[in-house]
Amino acid sequence: MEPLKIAAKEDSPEIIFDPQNQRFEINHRSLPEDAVAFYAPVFNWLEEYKSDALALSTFHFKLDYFNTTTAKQLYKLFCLLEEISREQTIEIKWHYHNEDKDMRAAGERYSKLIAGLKFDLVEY
Amino acid sequence: MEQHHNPNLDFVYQLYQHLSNFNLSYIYKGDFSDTLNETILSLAETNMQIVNEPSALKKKVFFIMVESLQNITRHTEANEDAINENSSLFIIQRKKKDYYITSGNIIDIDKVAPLEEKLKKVNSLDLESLKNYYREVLDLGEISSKGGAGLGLIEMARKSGNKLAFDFSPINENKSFFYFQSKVNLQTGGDNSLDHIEPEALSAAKNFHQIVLSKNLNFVFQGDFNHENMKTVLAMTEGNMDSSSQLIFRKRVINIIVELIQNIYKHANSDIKEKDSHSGIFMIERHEEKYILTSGNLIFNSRVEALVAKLERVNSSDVNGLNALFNSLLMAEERVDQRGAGLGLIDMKLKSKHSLEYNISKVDNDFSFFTVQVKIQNNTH
Repeated sequence: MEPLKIAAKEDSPEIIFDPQNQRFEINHRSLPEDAVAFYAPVFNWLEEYKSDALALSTFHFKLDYFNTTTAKQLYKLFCLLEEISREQTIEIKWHYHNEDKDMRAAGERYSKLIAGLKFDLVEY
Repeated sequence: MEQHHNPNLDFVYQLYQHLSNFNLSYIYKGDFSDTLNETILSLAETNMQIVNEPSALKKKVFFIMVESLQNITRHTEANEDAINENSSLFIIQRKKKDYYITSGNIIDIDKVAPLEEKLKKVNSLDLESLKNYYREVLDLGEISSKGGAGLGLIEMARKSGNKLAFDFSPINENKSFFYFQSKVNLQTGGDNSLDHIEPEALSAAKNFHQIVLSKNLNFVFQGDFNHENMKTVLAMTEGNMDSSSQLIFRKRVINIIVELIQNIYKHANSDIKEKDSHSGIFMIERHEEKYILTSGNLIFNSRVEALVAKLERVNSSDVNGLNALFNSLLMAEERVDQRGAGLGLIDMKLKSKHSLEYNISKVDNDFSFFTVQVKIQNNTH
């Protein structure tokens, strides 16, 4: 399956979903003008990946900022990953800066809401 | 309606009205640095690109802005007594195709007379004699220790084709505040002489400065909000933040600026027929220990009740209640007609740890003006 690669911009994250190299990452920041439109190709890619997923995929989230419209898209993204996790193993690594309690709280929120996912909070 | 009235925030609508003669106004007050100057320039560039200004006008505006900003950084005298009260300022305003660029800074009182003389001399000349005068000054080589011998002033008059507006307002027996304004437009008189000063444009800028001083503001932007100018405001704020302050504080300020400005450009209603116009006002009051962020925009009267209900629900909820509310909105089905869904308001209260101050005042039969203010404290845990 073709990897998904989106370069970081000043208002949107870098996204690398690359099964061949077992790399799944969302980095930088996410405050796009239209979060729904920005994340649509990500959801499309994951829908396709569902039927073709590796036995284990570890998704790394390492965000400095995200806005509330992104928060909603991330929730949808985790729901999709939860669906995949019914067939294959999915791990989430939610990275947060050791002083950034808001980012930690956001990770805790998602891990509670999406109970079916293995969700680790990773301090850096 | 009365119970949504917050007199402390009335000044926001007053300022909005005061600036409504202009399509765009922004003011920065404080300390100037090269990085800040770059973001001030790029904010102007973004906005000129959006309205598709001809490149000849853009070049002129840029030239005048750069000269004005250099004047501020070069000629400001330190004034330990009243740094905050009187710190330098830069204003750019657009009225249709006319740009007004105003700088303000403190100068020593003994520099007032020679400066005034130079300005009057420049204003007395026509374009042809300005060219000669420029050569004359250049040949004399009378360069002051801080660079420039009025060459900048001559060039600004020549490039703009307009007389230079100025005023001095005494601060104390040693210092004076120097206001300086250039008007830049594509169509000047067409003959050889400089166009006349518009005294009302200078007094509008001075009033703007007085309001900003009295409310302790560091930055005000009024005009059409969009994603591009939000990014520039963010870059400006990030460049300006004290890097010794807590990371969480800096992040919260940035996060809340994003929510406030995205609220304006996604939800502001406007009576301007132009499609996609989201006019509003956004301001920053900066202190060492806190930031106060304020935004204001018009909304349809028909939306007031629902908005007030949301705000009251957020303000009356504690942290647990807010989190529960946030989660339920996060999980709710997305509907096209409820973009945003109120998550922004909850997030701002969660991050700022303060209730959201707001004010709603009825403007006419169609519109109300909605103001919201968020305080973010450094050292909150």
